[in-house]
Order: sequence, then structure tokens, then C-alpha cells
Amino acid sequence: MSGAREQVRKDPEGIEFVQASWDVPQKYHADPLLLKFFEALKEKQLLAARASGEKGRVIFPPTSFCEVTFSAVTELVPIGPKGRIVTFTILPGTTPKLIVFVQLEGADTASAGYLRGVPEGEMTSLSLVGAPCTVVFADEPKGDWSDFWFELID
Amino acid sequence: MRAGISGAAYTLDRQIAGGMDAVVQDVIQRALADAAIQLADVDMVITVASDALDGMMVPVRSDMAGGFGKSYLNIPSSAGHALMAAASSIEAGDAETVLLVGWGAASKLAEFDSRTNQFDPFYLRPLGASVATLQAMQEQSLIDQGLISREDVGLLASRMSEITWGKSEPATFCDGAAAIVLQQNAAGLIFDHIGFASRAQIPLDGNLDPAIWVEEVTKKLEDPGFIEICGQSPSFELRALAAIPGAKRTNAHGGSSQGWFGPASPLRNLAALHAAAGESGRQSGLLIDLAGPLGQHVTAIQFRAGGSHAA
Amino acid sequence: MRHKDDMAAILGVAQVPMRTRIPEMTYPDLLATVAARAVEDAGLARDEIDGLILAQAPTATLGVDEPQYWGIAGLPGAHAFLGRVHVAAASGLSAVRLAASYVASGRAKHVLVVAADLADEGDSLRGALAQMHDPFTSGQAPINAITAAALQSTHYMATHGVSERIFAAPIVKNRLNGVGNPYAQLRKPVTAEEVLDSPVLSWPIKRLESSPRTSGAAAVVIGKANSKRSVRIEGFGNFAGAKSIGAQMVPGWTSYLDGSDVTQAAQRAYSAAGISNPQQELDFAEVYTSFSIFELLSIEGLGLCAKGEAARRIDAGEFHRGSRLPVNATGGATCGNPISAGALVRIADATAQLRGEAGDCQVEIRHGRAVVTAIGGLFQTHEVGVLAI
Repeated sequence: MSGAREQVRKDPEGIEFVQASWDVPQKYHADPLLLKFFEALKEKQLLAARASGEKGRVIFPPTSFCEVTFSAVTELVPIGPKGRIVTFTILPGTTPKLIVFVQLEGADTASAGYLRGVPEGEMTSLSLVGAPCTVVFADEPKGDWSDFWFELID
Repeated sequence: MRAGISGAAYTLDRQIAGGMDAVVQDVIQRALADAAIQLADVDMVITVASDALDGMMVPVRSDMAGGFGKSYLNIPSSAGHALMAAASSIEAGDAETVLLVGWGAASKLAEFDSRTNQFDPFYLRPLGASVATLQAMQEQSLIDQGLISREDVGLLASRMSEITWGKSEPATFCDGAAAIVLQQNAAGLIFDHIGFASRAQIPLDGNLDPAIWVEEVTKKLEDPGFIEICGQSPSFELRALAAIPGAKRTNAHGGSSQGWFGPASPLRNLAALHAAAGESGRQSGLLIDLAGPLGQHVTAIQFRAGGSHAA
Repeated sequence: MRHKDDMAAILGVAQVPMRTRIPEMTYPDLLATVAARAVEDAGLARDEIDGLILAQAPTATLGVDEPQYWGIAGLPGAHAFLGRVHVAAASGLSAVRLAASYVASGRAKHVLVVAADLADEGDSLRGALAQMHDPFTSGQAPINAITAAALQSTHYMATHGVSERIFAAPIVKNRLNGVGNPYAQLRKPVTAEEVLDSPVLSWPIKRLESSPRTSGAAAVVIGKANSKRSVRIEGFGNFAGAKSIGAQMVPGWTSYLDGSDVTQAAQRAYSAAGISNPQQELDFAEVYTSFSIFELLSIEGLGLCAKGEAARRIDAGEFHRGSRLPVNATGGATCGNPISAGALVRIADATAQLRGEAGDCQVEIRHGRAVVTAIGGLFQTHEVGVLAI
């Protein structure tokens, strides 16, 4: 840690600040089931995690642990591609983006993603809530979230 | 209405490969099994974990630590603070069964010590303060006063390392998780007197001797069954041990200077004490948490023996 | 239900006027200011404080990690530090709940709870709030406090068949209330049109529907009642729900969307306080409104009106300051929202009201009872407290 004087930033009110930053390098570890999920995306396959027991929820995106029953989850099951929109929001901008939460068929959870193909003028329609939709894959999936999005089913 | 320990478990490793989530969930399951209860029986969850070590805000992940549907608190300042909070909540009748969970992947601090961000930005940081420099300053001050020698510190570190890891290879940081179940009228160790005192980042009276701090918060104990003193640095564990004269069995579980994984570290020792108390019959004793880079937040929890420890 | 004489009580409170920036004070200065005033308000001497709790949410905006090492030196009770409570924006209320446990258990007599925020010490909140993300699932879509509140808002509109215009109602009410509050950051009224015309942050949420970036501080002293001005803590309820980060929602299991998480916490608090009919037994409510949707969900979740009705009732004059059960009579978080200190400000405001010391913001006190709420994280933790004088 050097003793060098840190920069002072200019402030409209003439207040002197000490400039400093806070870097905390992190190593994040992905949930192992999530890694399998990313691999499956390359094959245009969607996987969810099924918790064990009678009340076993189907969790999407998959996690190794069900927080409700507090039990480990090891089984992966195929899910979707159809689902229903639970709710949505729109990020404004030159190209507004529609963020949706979709509950895929077979899943007990809803999950986030982008809805494409909706004309800008129709984005604020509440008929989107509860609307059926489907997962659409990119032509060459890479194994990350950009591999798929949602589109409305007519 | 006294609070006591019904179950406990821990995991400690020099470096845990992969994420901490599964490790935390495993210690919780083992602690619940040790207490012979289900998670559904728990009404309050308290976590002890640092946002900086996790890289994510701990309270938004309470579900990872069994918090879903429970009453929840996060007390990252020290295990001692969290233990006091758990005991008081039960004693006040605000909770019946508390699950206290602490964890930390502190091994990453060996590459980059982010604790430098704990120092005030106006004076200490520009001067180059870091945990290492402050601990060195404290150690030197204790040596200059003739209270410890570097050799003694090294010997203690080796001994604690032997106990903790089975080899005499001192370690500054490691990874770990621990879970403690507290209930009213528990079968295990019962919380009795709790003494606590804190001092500023640089104590105002200029005194950096943890022995004085420990003396202040411990009541005289008649023949304690155990004394476990936990701090980040072997030099202040050494001074704190000196403050309790006549203690026979001290740091049987290695303290935490050689097994430090963040503020929750003493929970690991408490889990080990709980297991040992069962095997060796009725015990009373003292757990002292010297939290902070200089050990300046001191919590001394005196335990008395509970009923027979349920298998 | 705990006996009156055994209950912990709020003995003293203090807060500073909230502003975007408070450049003349450092973090320890702010803490010391409110601490001294709260102890004085409690009618106690400094050395009578035998416990200190620091309620501090994410510290990235402050630039100092684990700020207790730096911040508490010299505060009343610093020698008897009981720890830092960090439950994001619910920290203040959760810390008061803990302080009450210490007093009720007999382990402490007078516990001081403090918090302070300096919101302009980081260039933006984005870095700090980004800590709420799981880096593996956050690539799905940007889920943060604003988009998460927007998702709740859209769901509310669809469920109850209402338009985005309803979100103006709590804001207009609160901004008008803030005019009379000398501690509020925003003290000018706004019209519904101004709210609805303000820039969209994340549809349907408009900028004026969300609270400003605020610096502030507050302190509360908890102990056994020691005067006629003591406000008893009849019960607290806390509920940790909602899958972390909002990457997954759990329809049918939790209420991330419809406010029933608030109801869970409220039921726990009402049960501890012996309240069976909140609409008839409470004088007012101070609820956490960093976004308009929270006020609607909180009013309904607390059982103060039927689901889907809150906005219509506000438009009809209910829940305003002069009504039977005012909500956020001081303006609440709409008029100033320091993340760590905010929940303590709820306590300070509610205490002033119950004591009859709320000046231009004073509401009518008939039952001597009120409810306060806080929400932590991306709506994971809900805290509800019932206070009585």
C-alpha cells in the first residue's frame, strides 16, 4: 500500500475529495448444475433441477439446493420450451428492451430473460402478462445466457 | 430462561475448491442432525459472514443458509456478537430455536488483503495502514514492553497449527463454515455470564495489550473445564492466554490464529467444544473472541454444563 | 404477549435533516451527532448507555468496509459495542429488534442504535448495489432494485386491472406530507401529471416514483420505559422470503410479487403485539416507500385495506395526513431515503407522532399505537414493528 497522496477530484462546490477506489478481486464459483445447464444450451437443450421427495420442486435455472425444503438437488430434467409470462418490465433507450419473467412448462419457478419481436408500440400492453411464449435459440449457441430469448406464440 | 447449545458442526480446510454454498449447507444439515431437529423447527437464523469475502451481499442470500421463511439477522462484526445476539433473543423469548451460521473463504486474502478497506480514508489509509502493519505494530509494542518474545509467538503458532491441522505449518488464512443450534434449556453448554468490551481502531489510550482487555471482561472462574481464546494473530492469543492465570486446559482446539476464515472463525472452536463437552461429561468453561485486526472487540462467553449431551 | 412493564421501549430518538450530500460531516461526525442527541432525548447521561449497535447496510458507498472499526470510536456505548447489524435497507429496524431483545432479556439496560449514510461518496450506487447479484445468473437480464420493483408493479397492474397512473397516488400524498417535515430532503409538492411525465426508469416506474439518493443519519435509544414519552415496542415480526437476487421467482411459494411476504412479517408482529384488527387498532403507519409499488403492497399487506384497493383509496383521501389512518405522514422514504439510517428514521418519525411532537406533520392519536415497516435487499427481508404509547 503506497503512501502516495491520492488524487483530488474537482467539485462544483469547491469541496476537496480524496479519490480512492476499492478493488476486491473475487473468484466466483458457479453452481455445478448451472454449469451443466450452460453446456446443454450448446445443444439447444434446456435443463431444470428437480428436487427430491414428494414436494420436489422443479427449479429453473437449476440450483444444487432447494431453499424451501433445504435439500440437495442432483437430478436434471428437460424443461420448456413453452411457458407463460408472469410479469415484465421495459428498459427505455433508443432500442427499448423487454425483460420478462417466464414460468416454463414443467417448472415451479419463473426466471428472467428478454422477450423479442414485440413492436415498440405494443410493449406496454398488460396482455403480455399471462401470455404464452416460447424459448428461441440462437443459431450457434455458445453456452451462455445470450443463447436464448423468448418470443410470443401467436 | 437460559439459552444453550443443542447441536453444532463445522468444516475447516486450507483451501476449499469450488463454492462455499454446498459446504455451508452441509454444516447446517450436520448441526441440525446433531441437535436432532429439522430446519422447520428453527424460527430464527443468524448469519455471520463478510460481504467482501463472499463478493455478494450476505443478507440477500439468507436462503442459502436456511433462512427461507424464518426471522433473520446478519451480524458480520464478530462471532461473539452473533452468539450474544442469539442467546439474548432466546432469553428474551423472541426466539425458541436459533440456527447460527458462519462461513468465509478467507484463503483468497493471501493474494489480496481487502481488509485494507477497513481503515479510515483520511488518516490511516494514506499512511499505508493495513492489517499486517497494524498487527506488526502491536506485536512490536508487546515485545518492547517485554510482555512477549518473537520466539514465544512462533512456538504458539506452531503448537496451534499442530492442533488445528495436524502439522506445524502456520497458516494465516483458510476457508471454513460452522453452524450452531441454540435452544432454551438445551442439553449442551449453557450460556452463563457474558462480558464484552470494545476499543477503537487505534485504542485511544495507546494500549495495545489484549491481556488487559481480556482481564476486564472475564470473571474469576473456579476450575474451568475449558478455555478457548480465538483471535486473528498468535501474538494476541498469547497475551490473552496470559491474562487467565491458573488455566489448565487452554486452546485444546487450536484457537483461530491458525484457522482464521473470517469473523465466524470462533464458531468452529465452539462446535468442537460442544462435541468434546459431550464426550468428556459435564464441563464449564470460557470462549473468548478477540475480533478485529488488533483483537479489539472482545467477547468472553462463560458456559456452564448443560444436561446430558444427546447423542 | 409480553407484559407492558417487561417490554423494551424507545426512550430517545434523533435524526438529521436529509440531503443529497452532507459535505461538512464525515461518517463518524454524523454518527456522533445523532448519538448525542438521542441519548439526551432519552433523558440519560452518556455513561448510562451499556450497549451500542451499528446498523449499517452495504458500505461500498461509504468506501470503508466493516465501518465499525472506524465509525464507533467516541460514541456513547462504544466500549460496550454489541455488533454491526447488516440486513441491507432493513438494518435499522432489525437492529432495533435486537436491541429490544437485549433489554427484555436483561443483558443490557440502555442500548443505543445508530446508522449513517453518505450517499455521494461513491460516484454511483451501481457498484454497491451490484453486490446483490449472483454473477452467473445476472447475465439473464439486469435485475436490480428498480427493475425488480418494476416487475412487481406490472404484476400488480395486471392482477388488479389498473393502469400505471395509480402509482402517482402515494407519491403525490407523500410529497405533500414532506412539505411539513423539516427533516425531509424533498419538501416541494408534485402533481400526478409531473410524476407520470417524469422519465421512465424501468417501465412502468417513473423517476419521481422512486426515492432520491440521500445522505442522513439517525439514532434510537432502547431501554425499559423511563418516562411518559417512552414508546413501548409491543412486537416485531421478521420474514425472510424470496429467492435471492430475484433470478428465480417462486410463484405459489412466496409472494415476491403480491406483498404477502409483508403479511407474513405483519402477522408475526401483530401476534406478538396482540393486534387482531389493524384497521381499528392503529393510529398510523410508517411504511418503506422507496418505490410507489411498495406503499401499495405494504398498505394491503399490513391488512389496512383489501388487495388492489390502496391506490383508489389514496385518491379518495384515505391514508392522507388528516384521515383516520395516515400512512407516511412525514413523507417517508419518498422524500428522503438514506439506505442504512432509513429504518431508524421510520422509528424516529413514529415516535414523534405518538408523543404528539411531530409539529406540522402531527396526526391524530386515538389508540396510541402505530406500525412501522422496512424491506431489505431485493425485497428478501421484511420487518414489521408495532409501537405503543
